[in-house]
Amino acid sequence: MRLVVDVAPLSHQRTGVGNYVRGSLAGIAEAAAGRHELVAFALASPGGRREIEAALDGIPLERRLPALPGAHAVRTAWSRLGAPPLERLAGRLDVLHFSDWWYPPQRAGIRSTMIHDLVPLHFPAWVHKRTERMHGAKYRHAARTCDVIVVNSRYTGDDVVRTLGVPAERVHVAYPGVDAAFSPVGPRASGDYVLTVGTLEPRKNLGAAIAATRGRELRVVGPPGWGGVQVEHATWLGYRSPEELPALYRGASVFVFPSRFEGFGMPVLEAMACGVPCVVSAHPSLDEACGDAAVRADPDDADAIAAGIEEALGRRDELVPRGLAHVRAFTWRACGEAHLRAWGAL
Amino acid sequence: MRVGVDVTPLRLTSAGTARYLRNLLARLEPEHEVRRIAFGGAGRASVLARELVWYPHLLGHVRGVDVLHCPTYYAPTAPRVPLVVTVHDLAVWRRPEAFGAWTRRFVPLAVPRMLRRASRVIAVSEFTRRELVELVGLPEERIAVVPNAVEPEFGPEGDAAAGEYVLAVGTLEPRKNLPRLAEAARAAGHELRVVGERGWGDVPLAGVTWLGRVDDAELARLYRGALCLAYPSLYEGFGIPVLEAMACGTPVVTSRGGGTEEVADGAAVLVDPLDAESIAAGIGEAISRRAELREAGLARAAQFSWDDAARRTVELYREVSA
Repeated sequence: MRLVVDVAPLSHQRTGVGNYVRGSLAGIAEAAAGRHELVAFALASPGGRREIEAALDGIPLERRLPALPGAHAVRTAWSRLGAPPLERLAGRLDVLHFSDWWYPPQRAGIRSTMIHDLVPLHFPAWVHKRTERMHGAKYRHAARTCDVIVVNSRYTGDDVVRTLGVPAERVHVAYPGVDAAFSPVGPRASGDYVLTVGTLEPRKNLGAAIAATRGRELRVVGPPGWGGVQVEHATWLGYRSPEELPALYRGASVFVFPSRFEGFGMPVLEAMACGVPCVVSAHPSLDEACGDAAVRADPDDADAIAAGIEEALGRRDELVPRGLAHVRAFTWRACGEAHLRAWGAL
Repeated sequence: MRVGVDVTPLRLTSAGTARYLRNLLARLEPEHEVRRIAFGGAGRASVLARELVWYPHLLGHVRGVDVLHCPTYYAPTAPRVPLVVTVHDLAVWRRPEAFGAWTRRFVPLAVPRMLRRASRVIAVSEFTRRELVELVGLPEERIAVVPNAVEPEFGPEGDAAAGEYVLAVGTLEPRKNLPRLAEAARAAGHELRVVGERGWGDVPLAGVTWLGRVDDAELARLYRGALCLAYPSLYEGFGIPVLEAMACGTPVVTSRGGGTEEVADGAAVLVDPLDAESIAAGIGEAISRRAELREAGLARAAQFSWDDAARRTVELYREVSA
C-alpha cells in the first residue's frame, strides 16, 4: 500500500505534537519493514521545509515537501475549498493520514487523521486564537469524513467518541513511544533542582509548580509561548532540543508536571525513562502516562504538589524502578504497528 | 555559543560597569559568537525611552542567541531566551538620597521585576549577593558570585607620578563622598588629587586637584605615586579602585562594611565614611603602615583575575542555555 502521512507539524520547533509525528513515522517505517510505500507529505514555507527535512533525517521514506510561502493560508483555503484532491501533489495513495492542521480533500483510499487532544473545543481560553480556529473546524470535519481517527490515549479516544459523536470502532489508540536516548545512563546536568517541561502557556499551570517549589531550585524547560506566561522565581532554560533533554531529566531530583489537561503527557514518560521520580497532575487525562508509577497531586493545590515532591523524594527507590518498568511498554514501533493495524495494513 | 550582550553601558560611562564589560567582551568574543546590542545615549529622552520601553519590552524580543546577558540590572521583563543579569550594587535602595529623582523612584519599582525573570543573577561580591536576597527577595540558588578583577596595567612596577598627594578615584557623584574626603585630606595636611568624570549632582571641587578622566597607564602612574588611595564611598557593591590600588602596591583607605571591606579583606585601613575625622585618621594610619599594607594588598589583589571571571560567566551561560 502507498501510505501518505502529513508531517506539517514538523515545520515548527519540536514539542509534544512534533515529537509524536516524528516518532510515530519512524515506528510506521520500522513496522512496515518495506512492505508498504511510506510517503511524508507537507505543504510548508521554505523555512518550515528545512525544519521538516532535518526532523525526517534517518527515517527511510519518500519525501513530498512542496515549499510555498503562506503555507498556512493555502492549507486553510484548500481544506475549505475541498478541491482539487491531494493526489495532484502527493500522487496515488491508499491511505491519507493527515495532521490536525488541516483537512485536505482526497479522491480515493482510506481517510485517516490524528487527534492529539480536544483542548480547543473544551478550553478555548487555553489555546491560541489561531489554534482554536484551525483545529475547531478540522475536528468537526474529521469526525464526519474520516474512516480512521488515531488518538494518543484511551482518554482522548473516549473524548472523541463522546464529544464529536464518532463511532467507537473508527477510533484507534496509538500510544506514543520513548526515544532510546531517554535512559537513566548518560551525562547529567549538575545542581540540585526540580525540573518541569512545557511550553510557557496557561494550560501547563507553571505557576503551581513555582509555588510548590519554594526553597528548591525549579528549572523550567520550554519555548516561550503566549498568554502572558513568564517564568518568575525559577530558572528558565528556554527551549531545549530532544538531544539536550535527557541530561536535564537525569540531573533532576524530581520531575513535576502540574498540567491542567493533556492529550497524553509525553514528558512524564521521558522523565520516568531517565530514572526520575515524577509528581504529576491528578487530572484523569494523565492517568495513562502515569500508570501506577507517579505521585499524583491536585494541579490547583500548590501545597499538595509540594507535599507530592517531598513524597516523591522519599519514595524514590520505589518509584524509579516502577517508572522504568512502566515506560518499557511504550515504543515507537508499537505506535507504528497500531497505525498500520488501524489501516488494515499490519 | 551565541551570546547577546547589552553593551549600552559602554556608551554611558568609562567607570566600573564599562570596565567589567570591556574585560568580559575581550574574553568572550574570541571564543563565542557575541552579538553586541545597545540603545541610545546619555540624553534625557534617550534614558527615558531606554528604561521605560527598550529594556523592559523591546530587548526581550532578541532572538537568534542562546542566552542574553544584561551587565547592569536593567533587563527585559519578557525575555524570549534565558537571561543572565549582572548586579553591581543596590545603592539606590540603601542610599536613595545619592540618586536623582527619576532613578530613585523607577529602579526599586522596575528592577525587581526584571531580576525575577533572570535565570541566573551574577553578583559581583558576596555583599551584593546578600543585598539581593534581603532587598529584592531573590532566592540564593539563582545568584552566583563572580568578582571583578584588574587589568594587567595595574602592577607595582613602573613609572610613578611625582608629588606628595592622596588619590581619590571615582565618578563625581554624591555617593562617592568627595566633600567629606576633601575635608579629611585638608585636616591631614595633604594634597588631594581626584580622577573621575563628571557624573551628576553638585560635587564641589574647591581645594582639590581635579584631573578629570585619565587613561589606564596614567591612572596606574597616579596610584603608584600616591601616599594612599582614599575611597570612603557611601556605598559600593565592589569598589574596583580598591583592587586597582592594591595591585599597584598602594595603601588603601576605604569604607567599613559593604563591598569595599570585602574586597580589602583586611589589607586596607577601614574608616567610617560619614565621619571626616575618621577618614583623616585613616589616611594618617595608611601612610605610616605603608610597607605592611603594600605586601598585604599585593597578595590580596593577586586573588582576582578577569580570566577567572569570564570562565565562571561562561559556565553560567552553559547552565541556563543550549
